[in-house]
Amino acid sequence: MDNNKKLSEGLLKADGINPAGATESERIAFGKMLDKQSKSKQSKPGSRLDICRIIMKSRITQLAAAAVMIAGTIIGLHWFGHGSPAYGITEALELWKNAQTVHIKGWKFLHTGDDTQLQKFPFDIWFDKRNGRFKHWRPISPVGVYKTETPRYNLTVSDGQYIMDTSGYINSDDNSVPPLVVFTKLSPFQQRLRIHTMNPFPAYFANLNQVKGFTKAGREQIKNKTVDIWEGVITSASPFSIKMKIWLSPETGEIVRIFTWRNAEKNSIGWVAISDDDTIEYDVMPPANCFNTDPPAGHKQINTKETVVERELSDGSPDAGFYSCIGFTLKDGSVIYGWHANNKPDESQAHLFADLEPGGPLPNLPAQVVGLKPWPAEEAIILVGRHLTFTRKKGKFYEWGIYVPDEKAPERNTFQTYKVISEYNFGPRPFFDGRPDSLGQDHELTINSEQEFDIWVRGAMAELSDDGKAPESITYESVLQLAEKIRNTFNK
Amino acid sequence: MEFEERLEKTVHRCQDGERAAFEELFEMYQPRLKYYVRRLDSGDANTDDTLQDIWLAVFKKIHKLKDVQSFAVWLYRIARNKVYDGFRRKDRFVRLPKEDELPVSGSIEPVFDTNHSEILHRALNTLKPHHREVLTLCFIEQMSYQSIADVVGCSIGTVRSRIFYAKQSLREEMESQNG
Repeated sequence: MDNNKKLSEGLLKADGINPAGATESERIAFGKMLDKQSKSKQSKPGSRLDICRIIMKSRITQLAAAAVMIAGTIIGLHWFGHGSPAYGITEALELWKNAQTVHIKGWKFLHTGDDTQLQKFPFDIWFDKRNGRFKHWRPISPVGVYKTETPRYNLTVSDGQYIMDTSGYINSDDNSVPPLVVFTKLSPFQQRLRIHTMNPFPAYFANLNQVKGFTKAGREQIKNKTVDIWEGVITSASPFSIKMKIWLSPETGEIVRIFTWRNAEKNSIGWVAISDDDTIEYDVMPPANCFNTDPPAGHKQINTKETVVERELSDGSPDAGFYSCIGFTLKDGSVIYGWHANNKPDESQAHLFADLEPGGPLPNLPAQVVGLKPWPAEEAIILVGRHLTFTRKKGKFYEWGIYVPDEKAPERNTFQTYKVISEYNFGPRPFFDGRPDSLGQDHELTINSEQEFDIWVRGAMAELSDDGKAPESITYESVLQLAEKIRNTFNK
Repeated sequence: MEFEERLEKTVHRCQDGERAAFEELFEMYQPRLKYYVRRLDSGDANTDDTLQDIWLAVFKKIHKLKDVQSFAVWLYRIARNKVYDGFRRKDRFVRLPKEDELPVSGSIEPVFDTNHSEILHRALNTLKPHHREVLTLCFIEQMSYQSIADVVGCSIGTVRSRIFYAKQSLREEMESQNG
């Protein structure tokens, strides 16, 4: 028996299914179904309209995914110059910080069922950073899958408080896409967080080393501007790499164009174009109603601005009863991470938090985040979890753990994210798990000062408290001291 | 007779309305289809009903299937749609994956020892649903990336990326289960 068949049969057996065929009861039921259909005059194949619908992917988080390249990106292309006085990404990001708006448009390259055949389709993105507004319009699926002439498009618009996301259903009978609209509502804290993490540039520069190899490939004129062309491969992505060409003004530091390729597969046909951001403009006036969140005509509304409830600052699966809220990396490499785990919402967890000590064991919840692991990282450094504090909101208890590296942690700008090391304490893990496996990029910040600590760490704790206040004992200095104390216990 | 050849003939006979052919097709696919539906809609007591709905749709629509060789993709798309229909009837929120052709990074895709299918099965159940789905199609049907893309309704690049990360997660989960 070949390995593939062996694997398939092994999996079926592990699930209590006989790979050889249907069970007797299934055969009987199937036979009855055939009998019934054969007798029914209405059972003529195709007589029934069966609307099969697939919810299409939300694009809301595409923006957020691009958001937190933060420190790693801020390093930028200083290397590019090799002594040249040319501006680099550092300056480009400074420009972004000071810009009211950024407009990016260009082309996305989509497969039409074959890697060798690409078609390009337009996209258009607007950012209004000061007000936390954005508009994101882009094609989201290949042409070939549903045999349609054009790709489906996703429109996500935020006016700062509400996010309107258009998705669609697929009617498999006629390949039509009846569209729908879903609203999300952000709390004031989440609005500030979104503004803080908003970033218009690709998130591929998570690691200082990734842009080291970029070289200047030339100089040309674009729209009456002289720009340097930098080319390079995002090295840590190898062997499935990202290659970028960046047009950067040495006069102003503006990135005016980015072309991106992906290496489709090891030993395959080589570089495949992903996108050409051929127009990048700063501080241009958005079109009227650019950030209007009124649902487009013809869209079915799943909810409305009036009915949508404010989004909880957490991400997770109801099936797992395990949610990731937000994480903060401190200057000593330790991390404050908020999460909650309650698979029985009606059952109070007060007793599990009653006798906890800062620096002591985590609460004995149904699920625990026992550690964090920088990823990708050359060395397997584990940040060990200890209890810091907890907050309570609407009957839920939120654990705020302090995660301290057992060895010297790598600099935050040298890895992409933290993998979550979790354990379930009671019985088998939920079947339909969906537990968080890493800190979401839009929900993780680096904290470098007491002021930032108060705004973001204490702000997040207040957000997840009934009284809107963070525990008084949690200060920048007290947490750093506690982390040091925990670290010393490792040394012993 | 090779499986593909047998399948093609069976599907043609089904399109001609031959009852025995439907029964044969049912025997050929029901076990793997059940595994897939369980992975997609795990813990649902109505898996049998969903499977019935799927086969009913197959019975009613198979005459429309033009490319007989794409039967498996067609079947699994029906299955997927039926499961999602069930989610909507129960107002169950389906979390959708956030990534879209993220650059796959890091090491080469892990391979799995087929002798450890029980561990693999347990680990598979702990993955995120969209990861679990693509790996299930990959493992039980040995579908190509393009076929999986056609079933799931996303690009081949997204499937490639999803499978890469799914296998990474699966390996980590298997390692953790092995202590």
